[in-house]
Amino acid sequence: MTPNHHPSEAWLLDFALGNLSPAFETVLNAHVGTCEECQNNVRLAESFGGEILAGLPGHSSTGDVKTISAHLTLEKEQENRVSMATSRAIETVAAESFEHFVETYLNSSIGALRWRTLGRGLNICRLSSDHDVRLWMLKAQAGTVLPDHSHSGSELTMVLKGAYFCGSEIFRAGDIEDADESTIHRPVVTGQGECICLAVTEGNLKFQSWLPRLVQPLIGI
Amino acid sequence: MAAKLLHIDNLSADSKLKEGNENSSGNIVALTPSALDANSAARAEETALLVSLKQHQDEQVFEALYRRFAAKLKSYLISLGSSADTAEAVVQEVMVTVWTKAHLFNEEKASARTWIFTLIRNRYIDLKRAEARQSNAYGQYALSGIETETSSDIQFNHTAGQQISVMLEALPREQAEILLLAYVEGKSHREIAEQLGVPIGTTKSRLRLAFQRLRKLMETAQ
Repeated sequence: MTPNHHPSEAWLLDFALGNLSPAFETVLNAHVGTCEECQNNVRLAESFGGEILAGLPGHSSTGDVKTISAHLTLEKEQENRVSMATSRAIETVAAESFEHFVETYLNSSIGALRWRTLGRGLNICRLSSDHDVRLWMLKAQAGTVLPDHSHSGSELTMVLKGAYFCGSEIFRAGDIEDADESTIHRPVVTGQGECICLAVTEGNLKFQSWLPRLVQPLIGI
Repeated sequence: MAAKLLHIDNLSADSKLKEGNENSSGNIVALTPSALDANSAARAEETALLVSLKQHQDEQVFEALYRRFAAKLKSYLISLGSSADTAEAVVQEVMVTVWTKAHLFNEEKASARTWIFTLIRNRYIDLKRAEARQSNAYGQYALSGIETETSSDIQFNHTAGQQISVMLEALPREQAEILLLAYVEGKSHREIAEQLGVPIGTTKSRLRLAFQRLRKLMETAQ
């Protein structure tokens, strides 16, 4: 699986530096794990982090190296707390199927997911909500047309299964659609089978027509 | 959280002019070769030290690495909002890791400074997560809640010839500014857009250009 649509470098920089909230982190983790191009960008951000570190002025009151010896003695008896998975550009095979994705990144199983039917072949599964950031999944039957909408913040959508069109672009498994308040889109699921997406959104979606706006408070997106 | 580190004015005031120094194929030509060479030499020395530590576990080699990195690691954590005490404890932990896990360093994959950066970055992420879990109580390593005394003392001193400034000065000021806010203050691109009062799309496109330049810069610098 080689993704064709990627999160912008801004997201990869946030991911590389640990500057993301958990929900965005989940989506980035799943994409970066399968995307060589984004792994390279994360490594680039980390390399530049080394340059930034090396260029920082040293703090004037840093402990003497001799104080380390006490830690070293302790170290022999305890597991070091610093994570040794150094780079965040970690390749995984976990997102190669929807089942693997649910087990690895959501720490759950397909049977445990609670889908809510919205009618017209559309289901959502809410995963987490933290302040105004929501992580959810959307499952739509082949040919489903989602209502036109824009956003009041950032939205990252990762295709986990199937594919959808947005304008002239097609988003397939592993791809990320990177949207924000400047984006208005109307995803259309391809005719080749159901499509499942993972989405993280900041703030509420802004629907263009009255019916989705009416039901929005009920479905919580 | 202390957020007063950035001294953007310390970046070259005319760094925008350096956009004009980029040739039509986008190659960066504004860097001084001698400054780049000095930085590459320093990077190679650090990596050689870490390789030597990996092979021989020599105390003097470790001390040399400690002298090069410990104070900078402390500055980094303080700039991200850590208290001086927390920063000191975490730096000690990370330097112990450098010593005990040097055998895991692969010089073909990263420079010593990148490897050490990822160690401190990972620890920083752990601390933030712990802080989020204990948001109502200050843990041993709480990152916020204490206004640090030192972050305003940290600034990029490019007049002292520090190579990081040379690399940043190869970027247009508006790109360097975003990178500094992300790396040194730990801000997300959305927080940066809000702080600078620019649309999110502008921040994204500046970072796209910055990554293109960084790639060339890092390739040239290695």
